[in-house]
Amino acid sequence: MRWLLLLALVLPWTAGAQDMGDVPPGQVPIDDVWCTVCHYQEGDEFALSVHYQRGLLLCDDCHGGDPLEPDPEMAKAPDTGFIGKPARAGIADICARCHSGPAEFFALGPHADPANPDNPSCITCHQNHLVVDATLALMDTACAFCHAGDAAVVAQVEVIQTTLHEAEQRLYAAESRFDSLQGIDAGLRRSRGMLVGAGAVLRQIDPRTHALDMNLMDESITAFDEEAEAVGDVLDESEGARQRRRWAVVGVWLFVAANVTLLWLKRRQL
Amino acid sequence: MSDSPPSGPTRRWVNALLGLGVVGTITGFAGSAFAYLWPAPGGAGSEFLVGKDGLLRAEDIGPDGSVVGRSRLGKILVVRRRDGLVGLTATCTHLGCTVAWNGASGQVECPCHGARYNLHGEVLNGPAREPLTIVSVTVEPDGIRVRPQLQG
Amino acid sequence: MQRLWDWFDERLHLAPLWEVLQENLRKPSPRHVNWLFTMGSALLLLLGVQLLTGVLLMVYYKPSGREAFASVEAIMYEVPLGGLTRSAHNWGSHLIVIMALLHMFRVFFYGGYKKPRELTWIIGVGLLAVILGFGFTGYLLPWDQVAYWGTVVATEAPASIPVVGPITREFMIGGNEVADATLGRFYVVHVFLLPLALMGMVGLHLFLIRYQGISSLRRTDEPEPTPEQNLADGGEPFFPHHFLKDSATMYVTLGVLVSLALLYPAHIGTPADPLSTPAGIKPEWYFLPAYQLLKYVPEVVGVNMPPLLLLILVLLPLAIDTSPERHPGRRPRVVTGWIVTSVLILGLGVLGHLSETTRTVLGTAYHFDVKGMPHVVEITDGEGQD
Repeated sequence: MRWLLLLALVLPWTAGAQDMGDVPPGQVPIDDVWCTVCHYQEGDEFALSVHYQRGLLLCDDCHGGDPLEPDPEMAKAPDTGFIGKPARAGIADICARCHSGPAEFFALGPHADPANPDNPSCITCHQNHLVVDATLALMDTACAFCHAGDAAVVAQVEVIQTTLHEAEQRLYAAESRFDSLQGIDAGLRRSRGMLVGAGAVLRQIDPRTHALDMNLMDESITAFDEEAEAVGDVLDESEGARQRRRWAVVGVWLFVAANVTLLWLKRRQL
Repeated sequence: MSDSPPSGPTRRWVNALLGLGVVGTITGFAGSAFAYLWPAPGGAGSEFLVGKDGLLRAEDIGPDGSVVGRSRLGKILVVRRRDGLVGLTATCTHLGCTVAWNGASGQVECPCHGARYNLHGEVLNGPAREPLTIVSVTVEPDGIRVRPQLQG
Repeated sequence: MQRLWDWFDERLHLAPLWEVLQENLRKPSPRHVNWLFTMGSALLLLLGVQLLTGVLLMVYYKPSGREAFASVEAIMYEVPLGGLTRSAHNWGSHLIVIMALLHMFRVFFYGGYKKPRELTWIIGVGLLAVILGFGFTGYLLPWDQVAYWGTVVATEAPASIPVVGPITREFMIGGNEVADATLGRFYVVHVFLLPLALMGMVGLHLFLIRYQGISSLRRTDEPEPTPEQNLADGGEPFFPHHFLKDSATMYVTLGVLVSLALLYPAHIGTPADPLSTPAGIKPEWYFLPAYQLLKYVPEVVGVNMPPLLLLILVLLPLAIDTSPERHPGRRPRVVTGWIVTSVLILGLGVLGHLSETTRTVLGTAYHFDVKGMPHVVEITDGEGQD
């Protein structure tokens, strides 16, 4: 099977690579993953997921086993760590190997007890094989799986979405103002770290949303707003300095004009 | 116009203002240069003593040993005595050299012109007239903290 | 004041010297002297400002590969008025080149370089070389990517001269690649050797101008008008009459310089990295013609063109244009040659400026290739190719 692996590495650089669909650089083509021979539906979904496209994960990262082993018995042998379909209670732990933050806050929230079959697990909202980037829009559909028509839940979802969306808009506004001013005042690049820091503070809210607790989210947003305000002060100072320099130019030319006038007067006196 | 004789006072005014313009230009340059050259406010320094390789610790001073470090209070000499640490300003009041502890003589000595002080900072000998200032020294987990000695 | 003067006069007999100075300062110029004759004074002012800002920059600049960039950044953003000082120095360098070229054109068209003023002209050509040397060495000092790679490219060219080329380059940059050693050399040349040469040459240039007076428009085989004749002919004394015009030009020049420095601060990019070349490295605008020429002709030829041009300028009053005529209309061949050469150089500069860029002219996007030739760019969904 080594030639297959070699092929997997070489193929993206050959003309044939275009026919294979989107195989990310360095990733194994999905058709070379033997699991998909039987689990073709899962394979098709997984091929579109961010885990395959960007994460360079394969089946074994959650299920164990050896996805590049053609013999089904050997691929699922005990020494490969094969676990098959994870137990419902164990899903959060698998996801938490990489996504520890969301798992930690999820445990604080109303959906916490993973053993309770009435509660959702990670994959209820984020899907199991077709995992895509999580956005606020996910809440529109995912919450309705269980809470369809529940006005209180719909209202709460809207509050969360609006609060986060507005904070993001404030970040984008700060970023675009920073960029446009940096074009004029190159020295601002030394304060770029503050802007990046503010963005990082805002991103801390992502895991916190999993607790579905408005207070926890507000903490992050308050912290972000403080940082964003500091960035705003730096930008205000830059604009102020620029304005002061403009006035200085006006002053310089008044001085020049006065002196040239005097020189002209002097010359008429000669 | 140009052939009409210029009046005296106008001539003097124009000359004076032209001179003012030249003086103003030169002042502008000189003032800018002055602002440019004005020393940046020095780092306030720390309350903890800093040596060549970072924060100094009480362990760095052996029995009857001493150490000199920088701090917010300037250069400070710390000497270990049987009942703890004694701190003095380390800049000689004569001409600014850095003094050192001489364990053999039990005196603080300046290598430049031979000024000698006791551990109260008082001048024992040599050209210095003003005493060194005693500072309060406390040993903390982070290092040696020096603060101005409280009056009285 | 009078006593101080007396003290010195008693010992050094200054009175005759003072008289000579007065006489030369008040020497009437020919009638045709006008505003165009104030550019030399503006140059002197700009050079003075460069000296002042240069000395100030030296206070905080650290000429070592490890510290140069950070020290320039500190000057720009931490030292009070540091940004203004460096911007004034940077803009001053551009204004000096512009002013020097205009000054040279004025002297050429008025025939001022002719006998008996050949020496003044030759020293002037030397000053132009010194000014360009300042630009060349000063370009490296900020030690950012543009500075570093601009210098790499510029010092690579002389290496193409057979036999002596590689050695010359190695000697110039102090090794086989632009590095710390280069910075040290360029720094010493920029802040010590060139200023020394500049001050000596400017002094001589000024002395000769005052001593010989401003050139008349007469043929060189006619006797020069005496100062008295100039005065009778409607000419004015240099001091104070012409000096007032000079002063006005100097004030305006200063205004332009300070405004540019305030409104358009000098650039400082990212630190020099010998292991990664950024895209679009080009020299200063006044080296663009030479840079572009190197793309069309063999390097050996191209590299020798700028020194050859300076040599031609030196030879201009000595061997090339020795006719007694000063009026540009009566020496058509030299004037035509001058204009054609100027247009060619300007054209090369424009091509160099345009090369390897994409610009939109009258709604059509053109990509200018390495040789400056335009190619129409297909517009794809409003997304540029570059």
